[in-house]
Amino acid sequence: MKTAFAQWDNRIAPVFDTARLIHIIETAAGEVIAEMQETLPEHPLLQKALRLLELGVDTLVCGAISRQMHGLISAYDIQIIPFVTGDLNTIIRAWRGGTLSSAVFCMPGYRGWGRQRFRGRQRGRWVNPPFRAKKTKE
Amino acid sequence: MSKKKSGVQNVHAPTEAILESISDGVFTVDRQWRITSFNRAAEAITGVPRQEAVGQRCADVFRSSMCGADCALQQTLKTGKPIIGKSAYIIDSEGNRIPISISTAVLRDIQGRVVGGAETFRDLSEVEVLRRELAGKFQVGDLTSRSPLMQRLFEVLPAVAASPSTVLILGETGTGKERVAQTIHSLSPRNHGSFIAVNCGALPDTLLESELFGYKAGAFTGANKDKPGRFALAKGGTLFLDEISEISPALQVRLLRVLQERTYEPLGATRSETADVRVIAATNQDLSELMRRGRFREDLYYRVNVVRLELPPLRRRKEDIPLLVEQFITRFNRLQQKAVKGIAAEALSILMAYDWPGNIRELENTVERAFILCGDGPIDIPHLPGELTAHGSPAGTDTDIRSAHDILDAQAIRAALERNAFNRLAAARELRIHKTTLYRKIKKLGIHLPEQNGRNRGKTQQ
Repeated sequence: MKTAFAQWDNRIAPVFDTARLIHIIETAAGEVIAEMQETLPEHPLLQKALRLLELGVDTLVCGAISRQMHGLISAYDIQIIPFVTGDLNTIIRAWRGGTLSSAVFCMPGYRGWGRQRFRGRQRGRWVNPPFRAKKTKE
Repeated sequence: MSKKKSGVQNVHAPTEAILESISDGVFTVDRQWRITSFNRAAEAITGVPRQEAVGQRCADVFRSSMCGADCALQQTLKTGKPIIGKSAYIIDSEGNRIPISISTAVLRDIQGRVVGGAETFRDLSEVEVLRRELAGKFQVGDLTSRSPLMQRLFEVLPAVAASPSTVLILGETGTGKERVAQTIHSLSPRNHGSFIAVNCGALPDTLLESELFGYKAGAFTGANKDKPGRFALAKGGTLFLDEISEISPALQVRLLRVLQERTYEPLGATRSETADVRVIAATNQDLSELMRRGRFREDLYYRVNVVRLELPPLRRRKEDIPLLVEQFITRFNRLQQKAVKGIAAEALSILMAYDWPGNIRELENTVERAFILCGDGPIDIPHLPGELTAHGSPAGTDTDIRSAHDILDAQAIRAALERNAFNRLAAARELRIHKTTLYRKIKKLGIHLPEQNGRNRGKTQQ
């Protein structure tokens, strides 16, 4: 199983749409069997999604991501855990430990992860935010 | 000390009131890129409440296309120079891309030491809407044109978009067929679905088949997992098949079946999938001629040719050149983070006189090339490629209106000669000048002519 972490400056890249680098961790039976870094095309969005598919990525952990980008990647059946922030190694540890859904790794203002984070704002039309992360398989 | 403190507060209170009342987002950061203040407009534009923003890293809150390697604030703190009005976008808490313009400044304390930076940003969404409204009838979706030929197209486009029919777009290479297809999609009831484009001429037949229809795991060696095809990706949306004339007879049969029955089978699948897509096809070939020659199936031709749109070449809508150049300059300024100030009148007149065999794509490439050469000033004649300036004035030479005239003369003469098979007398007649004037100008402008002229060739042929 391959999990890609969008990377910039040893942190999760703040915006996936413009991210150029991913750190991939391949696991089998809960153990890391390979780690690598790969580049992503700058644009268009479809090429970025196709690159993830080509690399065999099953899950993408990233920062902010636009609806268009999210829709394209989801169409290839790649699970997305979006609006994540933090130091890359810390995030990888949290991912492996199953604690990535903790609020400390969530970007400010993001309403996903199954609870209303932004109470002061009027509810938008996304009653069930499409960015809500699925449960991790690990 | 408390007096001094209260004095500072008095000075700052009106500033804070002003910052709260303006519609531009403003935030400040310390040297560690942590947000120290965040005004009300910044909350509204980013969708992040102040109490969540303050103390966080600015990139995690702001989430702009420049965050990271292109950080505007980092550049300002490095160089000490402010950045004003740079275009970018942010991704708000709901995943919307919001167009903005960014300005930055260095923050210093009373001793003049740098203590951080300030970033102001303006939501351009409304400006974009207003700009489109002002463009009025000259614009449909993302298409803008003042040409009567395009106006006729604009008039039918909303109706075409509203119908579920298959559309065939015809036009020379580079005329913007994909752009028109995207516009039809964005105006159609299917605009919540994806717009997926496939260049049928760019892929070998077997690959194109798996790209279009997808495959199931185990369909062939190396197919480890299911891969959805472009028909599946475009579900609920629009599939754009560019260069449809290039597909093989075998694939034409499969495509015909999808268009007729609205079902298809991915490679290795045992069940049919429903094709919930609207198909827009395009070609720069004469499909009816290909059909007559047996290279394109007659039944597919009639299935595709339900609604037909023909895009005029750029040489027939030259009135759009200034508009297109302006659009390209705006876009390249944004993409390359430059500040090119338009185009000089003389250079524009050269662009207007050229015939653009490569159409809009060639014009776009010409503007992009000029961007490399021109720095931040306006695009001028030396920044244009040799084939446009006829005798190829090298970059860096002094140019003026006289040289622009020379270039235009040379373009007109060359075009007239080509149209008349290099027969000088016929070209002179067409240009309504005496043949000796033509000879003099050919010599003066250094126009290269083939050794065999049109008159000689005619004799040889006879």
